[in-house]
This record gives sequence, C-alpha cells and structure tokens, in this order.
Amino acid sequence: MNPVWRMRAWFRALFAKRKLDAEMHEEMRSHIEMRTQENLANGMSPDEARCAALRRFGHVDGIKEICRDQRGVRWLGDLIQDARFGVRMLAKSPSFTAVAVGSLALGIGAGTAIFALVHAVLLRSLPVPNPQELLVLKWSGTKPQLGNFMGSQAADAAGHVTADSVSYPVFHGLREQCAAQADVFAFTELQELRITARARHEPFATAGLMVSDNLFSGLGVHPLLGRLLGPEDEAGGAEPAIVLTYECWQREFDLDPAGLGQSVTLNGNPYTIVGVLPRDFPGVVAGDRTEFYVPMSAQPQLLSSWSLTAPDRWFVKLMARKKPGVSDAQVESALNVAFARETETIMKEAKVLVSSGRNGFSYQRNTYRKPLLLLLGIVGVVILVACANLAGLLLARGAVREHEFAVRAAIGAGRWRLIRQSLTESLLIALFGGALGILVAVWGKAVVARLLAGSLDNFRFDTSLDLAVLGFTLGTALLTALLSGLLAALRAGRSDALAGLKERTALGAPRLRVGKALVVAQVALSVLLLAGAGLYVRTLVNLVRVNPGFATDNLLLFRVSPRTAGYRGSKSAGFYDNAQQSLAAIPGVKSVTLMQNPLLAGSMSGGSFFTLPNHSSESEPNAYKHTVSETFFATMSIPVLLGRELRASDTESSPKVVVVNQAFAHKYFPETNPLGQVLKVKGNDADWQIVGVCQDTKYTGVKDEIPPTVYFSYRQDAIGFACFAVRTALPPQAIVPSVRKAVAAVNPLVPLAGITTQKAMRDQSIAQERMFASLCGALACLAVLLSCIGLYGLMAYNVARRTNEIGIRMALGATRRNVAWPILREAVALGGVGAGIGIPTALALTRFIKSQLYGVAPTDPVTIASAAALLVTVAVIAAWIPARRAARVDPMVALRCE
Amino acid sequence: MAKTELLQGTLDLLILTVLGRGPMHGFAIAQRIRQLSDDVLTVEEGSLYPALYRMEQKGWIDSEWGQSENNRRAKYYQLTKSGRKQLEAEASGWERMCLAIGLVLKSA
Repeated sequence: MNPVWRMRAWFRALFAKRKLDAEMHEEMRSHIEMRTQENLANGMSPDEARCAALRRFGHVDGIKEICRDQRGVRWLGDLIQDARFGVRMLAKSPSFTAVAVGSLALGIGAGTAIFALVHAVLLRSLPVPNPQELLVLKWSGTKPQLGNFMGSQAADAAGHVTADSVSYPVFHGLREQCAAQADVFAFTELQELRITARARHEPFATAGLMVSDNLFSGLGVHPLLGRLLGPEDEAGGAEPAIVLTYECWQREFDLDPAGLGQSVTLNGNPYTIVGVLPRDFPGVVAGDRTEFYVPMSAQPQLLSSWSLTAPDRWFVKLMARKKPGVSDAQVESALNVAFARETETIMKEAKVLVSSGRNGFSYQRNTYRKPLLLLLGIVGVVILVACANLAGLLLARGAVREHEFAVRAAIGAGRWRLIRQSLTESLLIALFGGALGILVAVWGKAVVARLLAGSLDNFRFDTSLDLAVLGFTLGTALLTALLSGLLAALRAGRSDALAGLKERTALGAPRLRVGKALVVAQVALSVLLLAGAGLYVRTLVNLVRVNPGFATDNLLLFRVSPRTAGYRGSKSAGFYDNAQQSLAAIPGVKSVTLMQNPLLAGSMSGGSFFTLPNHSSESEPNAYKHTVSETFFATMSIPVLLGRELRASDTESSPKVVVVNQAFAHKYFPETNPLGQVLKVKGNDADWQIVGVCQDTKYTGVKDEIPPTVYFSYRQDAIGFACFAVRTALPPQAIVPSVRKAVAAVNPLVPLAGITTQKAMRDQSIAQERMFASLCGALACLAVLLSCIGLYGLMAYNVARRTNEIGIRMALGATRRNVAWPILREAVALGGVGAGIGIPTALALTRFIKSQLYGVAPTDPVTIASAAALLVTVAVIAAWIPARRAARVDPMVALRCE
Repeated sequence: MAKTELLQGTLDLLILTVLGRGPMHGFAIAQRIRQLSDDVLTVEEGSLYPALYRMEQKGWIDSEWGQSENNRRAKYYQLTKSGRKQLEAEASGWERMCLAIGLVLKSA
C-alpha cells in the first residue's frame, strides 16, 4: 500500500481518535437500527425487534475494540499512553527522577565526551572517497646503513630497526615499481618556518608539509578554491606554488578569495598561493599543525640539507592508495620486492610494513590511544554503577507499586503490556539522561581535551558531535535503559492479580535479594574506581612534589629559529648574543639564557653521540646532550658543584669544553675525578674537556629519570634554533610585548614561537596525570555517591517494609539499640562483601595502569585498603538515617497501622 | 436449511465481490451476502466491521457518508482500484482452490 496513505491513516488514527470512534459508533448504531426496522416490519414487537437485532450483531464493544485494532497504530497509541503515564509517574517522585536522570546524564555525558575524542582521534576517516584503500607504509630491516635520518625509528638489541622515513630515491623506486598495485605518495614535515603574508601581518612561525606531486590526487582531496599541487609543480622552471589550509586562509586572509594568486614568502623565498584546502580536511598527519603544502621542488630552498637525489638522506614518509581490485597481500608483496631491491646494498631482511591509512598518518594517535581507551573504560564502570543504582531504585519502586500493577493485571493488562509499561519508564529516564548527557558532553569534551593535551590549542582534532557520536549516546542510553529496567520490568510482568490485591502483610515475601546484590555490585565497582583514583591522585601528588633541580617560577620561555632568517652555522651565535643583550636590557628582567631544547618539554638531543677515550666499557656510552649559553646555570639556578661553568670566553677558537651533570659523572667516572677528562664527539676531531660538574636536573619531563647529560656552549656547538629563558622579577607574561620588541630590534625577520612559562611547561608535562587524577577522582566520587544512594534506598525501604515487625518487637521489649543495630550490621555486611569483591578486582586490574603511575605501586595496599575502608564507612553513614528511623518507631503507631 | 459457518478468510472475498457491484453500506452488505447465498452463509453481522476497517486500512475499499434508501445516515463503502485487483486475485485463487479440492474429492 501507498506509504503516504498509510501515514495519513496512522496520523488520523492517532490524532483524530475521537472522531473516528464517534463515526464507528454512529455506523454500528445505524446498522442495528436498520435491522430493528426490518424486524419490526416482519412483525416483531419493538423490544423483541431490538433484542434480535443486537443478538444478530454480536458484542458491540468487543467488535469496536477489534475495529480499533485494525487501525494499525495500537502499539503507537499504547506507547504514547505508556510514555504519558511514565512522565506522570516520574513527575510524581521528583527526587527519584532527579537522582536517576542526573546520574545517567553525568555517566552518559562523560561517556559521550570521551567517545567524541576517541572518535576524533582514533576512528574518524579522512573525508575522501574510499578511505579504506589508503595505506600507511613503514619499514623494517636489519642493520641498515641509512646515513641521515629524520623521522621515528626504533631498534632492538639485534640491530633490527623499524622506522617510517625513506629516502627520496627509495620512494621513487617504490612508486615506479608498484604503480600497477598502488599509487605511492610521499611527504615530509617542514618545521619552524617563517611565513610572511600580507604587509599588515607580522611574520609568523608555522609548520607545513612538502609533498610529492601525486599526494593530493592519491588521497582524493579536492580544493575548496583554486587547485592543489600536481606534476606541473615539479617540472623545471615551474613557478613555486603553495596550498594553504582553510585555517591559515581564514586567519591570514580573512577567507578573502583574493588571497588566491597572492605571493607569500617562506624563509624569504616567494611562493604563489594556488589553492585552499576544504575546511573538513584534517591534513595528512592528523592532529599536527600543518598550515600549508608545498611541492617537493621547494626542497633546495626549504630543506637544503635533505637532497632529493641523495640516497643517504632518509626523510620522506610514505602513504599509498591501493588500486581497485588489488588485495592487501598483493600490494604488500609488490612493495616488499621493490623495497628489497632498492635497499639490498644497505640493509638485510628489508620489509615494508603496511597498515591502514584510513585516517591518515599520526603520531599523536599513539600518544592518546591508551589514555582515551582507559578513560572510556573508567566511564563504562561508572555507567555500570549508575545502571545498578537505577535498577535498585526501580526495583524498590516496583515493590511499592505492586498493588498498582496487580490492579492493572486484574483489569486485563497482559504480561507483555506490563513489562512494556515498566520498560517505558526506564527508557524515559535513560532518554532524558542521554539528552542532558549531550549537554554535559558539549562542555565536557573541551575539558577532557584540554586536560589531555595540556591546552586546547594542542589538541588539533575535530571533536564535533557528529552522527556517530550521537549514535553512541543513543545506544548507551538504550543499553542503560535495558540494563537497569529489565529486572523491574520482568518482575512487573510477573504481577499476580490475585496475590497482589490481597491485603499486604507486614511480613511479605522478602524481595530484597536482588536489591542487595545490586548494592554489593555498586560498592565493588566503586572500590575499584576509588582505588584507581587514589593511585592517580598519589601519582599526581608525587609529581607535583618532584624537585626538577632548577627554579621554575618567573621564567618566560620562547623559541626562535634564526636559521629561518638566513643565519647559517656559527653565524647564529651573533644573533643569539645580540638577542640576549637586548633582552637583558628590558626592565624587570633579572637574567637571560638560551638552550637548545626547553626543559620539561619532552624534547631532547643526544644518544650515543660521543666516545670516552679513557673509559673502557662494553656498551657504547650514551647520554643526553644540551647546548646552552654561559648564563644557563645561573639563570636556571643550577649549582655547579665541581670545577667551573661555561664561559663567554669559550669560543669557536678556544679549547673545546663541556660541563656534565652528576649522573654523568657517577655513571662514567665513579672512581676518578671527572674534571679534565676528555670525550670525543663523533664526526669531530676535537677533544672536549670536562671542566665542570653541575647538579642533576630533570630534562625531558618531571616523570622521567634524570639522564646523564653533557652541556655544550652554543659558541662551540652551533644551533640553528634555540629556546630562550628569561628570568623576571615580575609575572613573566607581563613582559611579553617588550620581549617581542627586543627580539625584533635585533632582527625583525625572526619570529617568536611557543611563548610560554616554565611553570606552564611543567604543568603541561604532568597534564595527563592531572587529567587522570581529576577525572577519575570525580567519576569515583560520583560512583561512591551513587552507591550511597543505592544503599540508603535499600535500607530505607527495608525499614519501611518492616515497620510492623519492628513495632511488634519493640512492644515485646526490644530496645532501640536492638532494632537499629541489625540495620547497621547489614549495611556493614553489604559494604564488606562489596569491598571483598572490589579489592581483588582492583588488585587484578590496576596493573593495566602501571605505566601511568609514578612513585606508587599499582597494588599499593594503603591506597586500596583506604578505598575499601572509605566505602564501608560511607555505607554505615548511608544506613545511619534508616537505622535511626527504625529506632524511633513508636510501637503503638506501628501496630495500629495493621 | 442448515447454516454454514464462514470459512476463515473468505469473508474478505465475499465483501469484495458484493462491493464489486457498487457502493453499499454495512447493513446492506450483510443482507446481500445472506441473500446471494440463499441464506446458507450467515455472518454475525458485527464481524463484518473489523473486516471492512481492515480492508479500508489496506486501501482496498473507500468509504463515504451518505443517505440510505430510507433516509438514514449511513457509511457507504466502494472498491478502490487496488481493491478490484485484490478481488480478481482472490477470486481466481478461490477458484483454483475449489478446483483442486474437487479433484482430490473425486479421485479419493
């Protein structure tokens, strides 16, 4: 049948019910009248005629009911009726509704917020056609001779290396040889570039990608404006072209289409803007800061030391799109053959590692994967607690409403109808909870993202609540409704019209076993959450208390990269000198220093870059390296314990010197005086003499071990970019404008990047721990509160139910203590059983968070025992009010109720 | 004369057939079925209505209020296009079935 027709019929049936019923009544009445007339005409008496007509017709009301069913909307009508009734019942007990809806809203909201992030970081595909055809290519091999490498690689003891970057000639080989199976494309990251757009804008430091000519066609991205990069940009003599991201276009050109065709300069070289990428394109490397794309032909200008023709420069990363109809195995074997051929002279067991490129290339995905999935698990536990709590509340409500259900059963409601009525109520609660949860999530996802990444600016994933996320919310809400409502619904379905309508006796059937089990489950899950939260909080406290070895307050940090303004090699030292002087002259600045890497920022240099001629050891010496200015130790308040600091007089032409930290001295010169010892830097003939030993400081992060560290002077070890640290008397942010001016006075072409304070950097380095401590703590509190409500509800119901019994016992001489004590004892017992289940669960599960803890064992007995003890205490407090109520029962009143 | 109960599912066919001759109200349909079957087929008259409502819901018949022959308000039913198709289908199905049952009866 025509669906429009059906919809119209349903619509009429639902909204014109009264009219339809009236018509039906009229029709049947007219039928019976006609029959009566006929009977009269056949000679019956009026009464007889009418009776016969009615007999002929049948049971009028029954037939009407069957006719109504024919309208095909009975289920919908019932549903609306159930929903209306449900809303009325919920409105009748606002405190129950508030607890139920509120707890679900928080649980589902937190779940939605975290799922939105999981979806953004781990699941969402690139907005291109057939993203499942995209592949990310990495490789592995044994003892590779790579030359210079830029990217990430890991090696095991046997020399088996897994890495991402390849050289441009290798890329070219793979692309040519596997053209039949896949379209292989490449890109490389360009960091710390200075881009100048229009005259009114200051130069800004930015990051971009240099991409092969087939990258955009391989991905299947289409431009929002203009064109993207293609083979024409690689041809000799092509005009240098650049493609901007939507974000960059918006910020620098205010979305003005006239930006197209304009010229920007990158490190002083002109590029013409030929296109803008669509807004929803997150980039090849998800979560990065890429703002523009240039062709590989830009290499001589932007990445001069990484030649496209050199086989010993490994710096391009690979992705590919499978040709239609080609299997993964075919692509892989073709790539393996080609890669082995390209690398046969430089490595053994060469192999290409193919993984899904559905959502692009990302490093951050790995950083965030574990915390996000853990959070999702934690929220799952909280939602379970909320479900158990709601199930308990619904059961108790069901018991109170037994009579009502019995009446409904008596007047003809079927079993299924009763179950449905009961489920509708839990569904309503869950849907209200889910709707509120979406509001919680809108706010919560920003909070979680900020906590996760340290700041929202660092979390560059699109976390909009799209259909997938809302689907998750709806699914969670429905599941919650089912989980929490099922018990009460089945029980409602068992309503016995006869038994339920009989006078309810004081010693009615004990229906508390399920309720008790639910409370025990809540307590056990809460112990688990609380133990986890306790471990995270202790980790955070330990980290906050860590002394990094230098003073972190009133220290302003920013990065500069004189290389981008054309300073090469040792020429940068001149810029650094001038900048330090210019900065030191700012009023309120106590001292200024510069260093290769900011401290506690997760970045480091070093490795096995040196040898110790006077030191015999089997393994290669290994240390972190830090190139700093001579004011470093004074500015950072790092005491030099032995020997001297680096000096301004340690220049390119004077003897090479280094300062090492205590850890270095202990590791390599445990017995001898480290002063005067010599180390050799690989690729450099000079002897580097140790002239001082300084106190240990944390390098990459608060959590990390203090590494053996060697400090070089920037005058003897040129650095192309640096982090300045300015120690101020005032709050450091206040002098940012004068700092900008001071650097611009030295060279206006050097932009400042990453302006922050050391304190913020320190906070950032423990951001994830802070997040886990606060989120897990808040969620655990919620769970404890819910368990408390659950326990209170059970006990209060129990006391109310047994008022008669208590009255009788008190009339027979029981004291208040006699009646109150069993109630408290039961609460302790329930709490104890819950804790008894929760403790081993916690012991078994906390090892999954071992890597996230600091200074506390995952099975820390104090933390776990306190969590359990706290819950038992809370259980007693929750039972206190009902117990007191029991003790105050007046035997006369209780018995008179009978 | 003995009265025969209606076979399950044949009521639809009877109503469709009766309505095939033109619009009619419920009472008239009941009368007509009785007359046409020489009083053999009797229906509890009320049970006509669920069938009528169901068929209307399915779009086989249409209804309209009008005046009856003795000036009473009555709801008139008439076949729709898809109702005619249904009538043909059910009628030929019925004939086939009768034929088949007849064959079985003869050969047994």
